[in-house]
Amino acid sequence: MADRVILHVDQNSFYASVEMLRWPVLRDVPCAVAGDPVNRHGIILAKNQLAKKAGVKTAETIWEAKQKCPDLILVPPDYARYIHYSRLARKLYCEYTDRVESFGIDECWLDLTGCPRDDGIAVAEELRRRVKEELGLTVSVGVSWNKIYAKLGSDLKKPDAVTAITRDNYLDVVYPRPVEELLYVGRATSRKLRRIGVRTIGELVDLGPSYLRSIFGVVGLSLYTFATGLDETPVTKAGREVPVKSVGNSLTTHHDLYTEQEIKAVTYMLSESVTSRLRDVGMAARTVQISMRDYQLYNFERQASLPFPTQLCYEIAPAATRLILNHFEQGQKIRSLGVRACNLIPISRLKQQSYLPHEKKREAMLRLEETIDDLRGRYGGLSVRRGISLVDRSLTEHDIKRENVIHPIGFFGP
Amino acid sequence: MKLTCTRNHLMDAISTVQRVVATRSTDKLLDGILLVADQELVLTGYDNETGIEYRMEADISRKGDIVVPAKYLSEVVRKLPDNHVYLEVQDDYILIVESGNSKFRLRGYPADKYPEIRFVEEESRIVVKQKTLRDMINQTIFAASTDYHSRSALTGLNLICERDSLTLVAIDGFRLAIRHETVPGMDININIVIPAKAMAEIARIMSDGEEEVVILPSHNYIIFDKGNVKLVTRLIKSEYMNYRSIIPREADSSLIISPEVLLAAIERASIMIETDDRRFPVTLSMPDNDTMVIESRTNIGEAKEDIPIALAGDRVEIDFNPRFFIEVLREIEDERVTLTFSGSLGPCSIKPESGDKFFYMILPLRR
Repeated sequence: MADRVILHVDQNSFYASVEMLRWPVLRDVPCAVAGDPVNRHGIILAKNQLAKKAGVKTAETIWEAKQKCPDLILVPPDYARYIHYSRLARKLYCEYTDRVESFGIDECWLDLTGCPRDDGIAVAEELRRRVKEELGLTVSVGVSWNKIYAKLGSDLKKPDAVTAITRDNYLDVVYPRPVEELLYVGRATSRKLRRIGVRTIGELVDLGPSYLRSIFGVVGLSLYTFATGLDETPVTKAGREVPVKSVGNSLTTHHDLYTEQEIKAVTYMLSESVTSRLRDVGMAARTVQISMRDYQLYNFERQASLPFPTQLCYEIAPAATRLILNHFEQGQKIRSLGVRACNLIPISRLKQQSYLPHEKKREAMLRLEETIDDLRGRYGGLSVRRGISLVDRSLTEHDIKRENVIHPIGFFGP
Repeated sequence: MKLTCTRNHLMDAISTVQRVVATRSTDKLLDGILLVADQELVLTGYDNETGIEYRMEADISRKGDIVVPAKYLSEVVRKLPDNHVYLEVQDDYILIVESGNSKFRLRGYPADKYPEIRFVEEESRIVVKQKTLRDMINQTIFAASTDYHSRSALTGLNLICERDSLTLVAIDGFRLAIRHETVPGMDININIVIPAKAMAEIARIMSDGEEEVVILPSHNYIIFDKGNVKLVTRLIKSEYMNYRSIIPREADSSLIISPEVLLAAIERASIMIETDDRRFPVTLSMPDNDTMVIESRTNIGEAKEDIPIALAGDRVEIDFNPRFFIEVLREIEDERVTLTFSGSLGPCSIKPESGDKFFYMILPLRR
C-alpha cells in the first residue's frame, strides 16, 4: 500500500501572534501572554520572537522572565479570541481534506491521502502562504507518512516554514534528534532513557521493541513504533471527534484555601461549570474525581462513584466536597482544586417522569439548573450566584465555564 | 443414605431447588443442595434469603444426609444414561450416583453444618388456587424495581390482605401494577413486602390446574406450601410506598381499546427503536376523536399506524417508553380495556372495562 500523506500544522507562538495582530505595536517589542499574577496564574503562556531571543521560555514564571528581559510587555490571555482564530484556521484546512484532527488549540493533523491534491509539500507551502495572507498568522508545517514524524517535522523549522520527513531522509533527519522531541517522551520517560544512555531517537530505536517493552511495558512498544515511523494511528475525521470521555475544571485560587468554607465555595463553583458543560454535551457522569494541590505543590487525586448517573450540580458538588474534605486536614493550605466528571454515558433529552419523591426532586433540580444555564448564557456567569460564593469574592469571581480551555487529549486517552 | 429413585423425578427436584442455590457464595455449603433421606427424599436449596424444599418419593433402604455442589449434581443427573438412579452416601462425604453402566463419586460436605431453615410457621393462613397466585404474580412482577441500590422496598411485591380481598402491587417509580382478587372466606389483614426474586420462583413452581397453595405469612418470613414443594423467603422490612396517593382521581380523556391491537401497533413501532435506546419514544396522539396514531421516528426509520377509537374528553399527544406498554399489554387477557390520560405529562392508566381486577399506570417521557 502506498504511504499516507500527513501534514502537521503548528500555529507559531499562537497566543502572542493573535495579540500582535490585535495590537500591532507589540510586533516591535518583546512581549508575552501571561496569566494574571494577582490571581497567581503568573506564568508565561506564549511569547513573540523578540522575547524568545531574550531567553523567555514558555511556562516559566513572570519574575523569571522579567529577570532575563526587563522590558518584556505582558498581555493577559483572551481565550475566546484564540478559539476564534483556531476555528478560522481549521476551516481553511478543511478545504483540502475531511480528515482534520485538532491537537490542542493551535495544532492540527491533516491526512491528504486519496484527496484530489495529495502532493504534501505543495499543499503545505500553500497552507503556509494562505494562513499568512488570510489570517495574518504564521504556521510551521511538517509533512510525512505518519502523524508522529509530521508533528516532529513541524517543530524542526519555525516560524513560517515547511519540513518534509521522507523515507529517504528520516534516518538522517529524525534519528539524530534528541529523544525528548518525540511525542510522548515527557520528563519521566526522558529521565529513564537518559539513565540507560539513550539521548537520541536513533539510540531509542537501537534498543529494539522487546527491550523497550521490558522497561516501559506496552508504552515501550508504542515508543518504538513512534520512533521508527511505524505508527499507523489514523487522523480523525473533522466533526467526528472522539466522544467526550470526561469533563473537568480546575482552578488555582487567588490565595491559598485554609477553611472548609472556602474549599466548599470553590468546589461548588467548579462543579457548577462541570455540570453545566455535561448538560451541554448531553452526558451524565457515574464517577466524580477531585484533585488537590497544596502550597508545597503536593498533588492528590481521589474518585468516588455516584449512586446514579447524573448531570446535576446538586448531586456532584456535595459528592466532590465530601471527597475533598475527607482528605483535607486542618492547617493544610490548598493552592488549587479540580473537579472532574468521568465514566460518562449519553443521556436522553427525554425525561422519564416518576412519582418517587426523590426522582421528582431531581427533575425539579434539573429544570432549575437548566434555567440558570440559560440565564448565565444570556447575562454572564456571574449574573446568578450561589450564596456560598460570597464568602470570598476574590476566590469565586470567575466565570469558570467561559474561561475554560480545552487541553489536547492524548493518544492514550485522558 | 442408600436409595433408588427415577432420574426424571430427581431432575425435577434438583432444577426446582437449584433456582435459589447461591452461586459463588462465601459459604460453600450454600453452593450445594442438601439431600436428606428419611421417609422420603428431601432436597433443599437456600441463598440466605429464600429457601426451597422439595419432597419426592424414593425407595430408601438406609437413612442419611449430605450436601453436594448443586452445579455438578445437576449436570450429572441430567446426563445419566438410565431413568433408574441409585444414590448412596459413603464415608468421607462421598455421594455415589449410579445409573445404567455409569458411576460417579461426588465429593460433598457434612449436612449438619447446613443452615436450618424453618418451613413451618403459622400466624395466619391464606389459601388460594395455585393458578390464581401464579397469574397475579406474572401480571405485576414486571413493574417491580430492579434498583437494589436505592429503592430496596420497591424491589419487592406488596401483598395486601383486607378481609377477603387479596392485592398484589408492584412499583418501580415510573409505572404501577395492581392485581386484585377476592378470596371467599378469607378474613385477615396484613400488608407485607416479598422479594420479587422469590415471587418469580413461586410463579414458576405453581401448577396450572385447580390445586391450592397455602400461604403462611409471619413477622419476618412467608411460606408458600403446595404440598411436595415449599418455599420460604425473608420479607423486606422497609416501608413500601403508599401507592394510592399516586393514582390520579380523575382523568381528562378516556377510550376503550383492544389490548391486542394496541400491543401489536406498539410492537411494530418499537422495531424502529434499538433495544435499550432510551433516546427515542413511541408517541401516542389523537388528531381527532376517532383516531389514535401510534408512531416512532428514529435514525433507523419511521413507523406510523392509525387505530380507530372513540375518545371521550381531551385529545393528547404523549411520549412513552414502549417497553413499559409492551410488558403490561402482554399480560392482559381481557378483550377490551379502558385507557385514560391526564394531559400530556400525566400518567396513562389501563383498567378493565368493568371491575377492579387490575389497574396499571405508566408515566410518560417529558420532551
